[in-house]
Amino acid sequence: MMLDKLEKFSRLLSGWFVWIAVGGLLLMMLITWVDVMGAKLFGWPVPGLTDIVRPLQVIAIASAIAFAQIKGMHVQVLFFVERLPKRVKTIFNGITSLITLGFFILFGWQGYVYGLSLLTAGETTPTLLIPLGPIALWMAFCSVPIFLVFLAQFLSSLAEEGKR
Amino acid sequence: MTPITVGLIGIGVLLLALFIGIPIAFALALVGVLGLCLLVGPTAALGILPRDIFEEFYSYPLTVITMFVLMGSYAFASGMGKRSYDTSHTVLGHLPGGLAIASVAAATAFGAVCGSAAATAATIGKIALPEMKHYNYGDTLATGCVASAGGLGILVPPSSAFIVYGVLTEQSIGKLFVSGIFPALILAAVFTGAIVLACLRNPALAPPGARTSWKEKVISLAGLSDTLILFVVTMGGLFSGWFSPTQAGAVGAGGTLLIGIARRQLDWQGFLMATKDGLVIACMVLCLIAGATVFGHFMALSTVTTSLLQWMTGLPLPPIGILAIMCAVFFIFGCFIDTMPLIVILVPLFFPVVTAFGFDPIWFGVIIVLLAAVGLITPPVGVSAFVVKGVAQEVPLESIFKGVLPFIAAYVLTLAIVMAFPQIATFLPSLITY
Repeated sequence: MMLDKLEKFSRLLSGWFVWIAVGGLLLMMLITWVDVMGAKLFGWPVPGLTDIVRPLQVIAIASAIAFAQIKGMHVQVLFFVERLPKRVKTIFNGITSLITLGFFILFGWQGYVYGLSLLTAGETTPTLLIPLGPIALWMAFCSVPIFLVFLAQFLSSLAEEGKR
Repeated sequence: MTPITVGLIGIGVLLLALFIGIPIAFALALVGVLGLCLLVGPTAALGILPRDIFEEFYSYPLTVITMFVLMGSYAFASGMGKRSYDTSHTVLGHLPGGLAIASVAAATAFGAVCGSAAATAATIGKIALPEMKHYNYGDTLATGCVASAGGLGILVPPSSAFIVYGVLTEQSIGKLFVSGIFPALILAAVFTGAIVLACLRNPALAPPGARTSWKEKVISLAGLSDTLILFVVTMGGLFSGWFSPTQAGAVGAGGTLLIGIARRQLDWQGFLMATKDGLVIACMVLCLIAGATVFGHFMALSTVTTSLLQWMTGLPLPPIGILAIMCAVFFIFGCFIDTMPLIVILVPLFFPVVTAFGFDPIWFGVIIVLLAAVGLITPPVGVSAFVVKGVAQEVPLESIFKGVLPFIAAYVLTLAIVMAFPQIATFLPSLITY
């Protein structure tokens, strides 16, 4: 029951994050379009284009990591694991989920430290002076939905093993 | 432990992590950071992890991947593949094996707007396979041809594989794009030869389709108009230096979107789905590059890359022998790993060897992309073959893998031609400035 709720919540949260990602991606495309049309037709490029596009890419990609995992888009070598007996496969899935979970705890924590350091140092983009700290902090925060996705996967493997 | 021992253990741990099924991007970053912990201490290593990943996501050159992937995704959703196939079908369908040849031609045309092999195989497969079934084509030829033709999607510009190779090796994306044109045409011609040969040996394998008049053939060419316009605008703009690669990608993505809307192929839901599809593919590729960057730092500090270079330059082999070894490694890994991870993992390791031996990096890029395309159809992990299996569920996977055999031979022949005559890949890049 709790596991179902966790799975649902992780999907829901990833779903919210992916809308932010979609918004970031479409803005990237739109601004680059405006820049091309403005520069080539009217001699008016978007000032500081890369200062806008680069942070947008961080937001779009980081926000989509959990959704991409749910969609099975992060490439895995499953050739070996899929030939194993079901029980061993479940154990392997549990182990890989736990390892990846650990990785995202590490990444979230270190990303937070890194974001704070950029914020403290007052790092900004070169032209428009957009602060980079909040962008890096957002990237770190994006490890929350992916953490929940792998936690649900890990607990699901445990539950499956517990049923035997 | 010496740094090189740590590096070699790291490679072993990475292979283990991959084989137990950890997503490749995360395995690369995790093994990379753990290895760095041993080499430079935990404080410095843990600081490198978020910095490397942030810098890759923040990189402007990488926005070109995002834009071209989005363009391919919109092209996939807006029916451009179907129109390419309809034209090829009308023009070539009456020939023996004509529908298979039409599939190759349509894949070449669709590759001009879509940089993904899997998307090309899926698009052409969905349209061509039912048609070939209708005309009683053999399952092995039909599925083998479509799965193999998918590789044209990453050889014809724009190509996601060339973009990633260009980013990793700091080569001009425009030159890499243009370098794939002649090899793609040669590959398409060799595929056609393989189909004709198979049909001559066994005419029952691919009976001729319906005849069409010359007028119908000429009229059908209009089906290629939007593909042609997009290709000329985006690639022409890029090759002439009018657009930067990111601008070309954004113009292509926007243009494809407008065509999809104008032709009423993309409604609001279709647009959102295509955007999400493009987003997750771009996310997968950028995560791989970010993971490979962390791992690459570990490899550089462990001196494995320089030791590999020293070892290979010390081998009593001519340069072509070294190239053959590298190709063999790519081919073997390609049987197990998908295109992007293959390029992201192996190119940084081998690229110093390529430059040390004086190989042309653009030419080498074409060879790598051809090898990556072969990897898409070789068992046990042939992504294009799996995609075709998804479309033609009644055909056993074994039949698909049997069907791709003549096309693997065609790939090897094309590789041999490109290796023997590097000008095929380097002539067009020498003409453009960007």
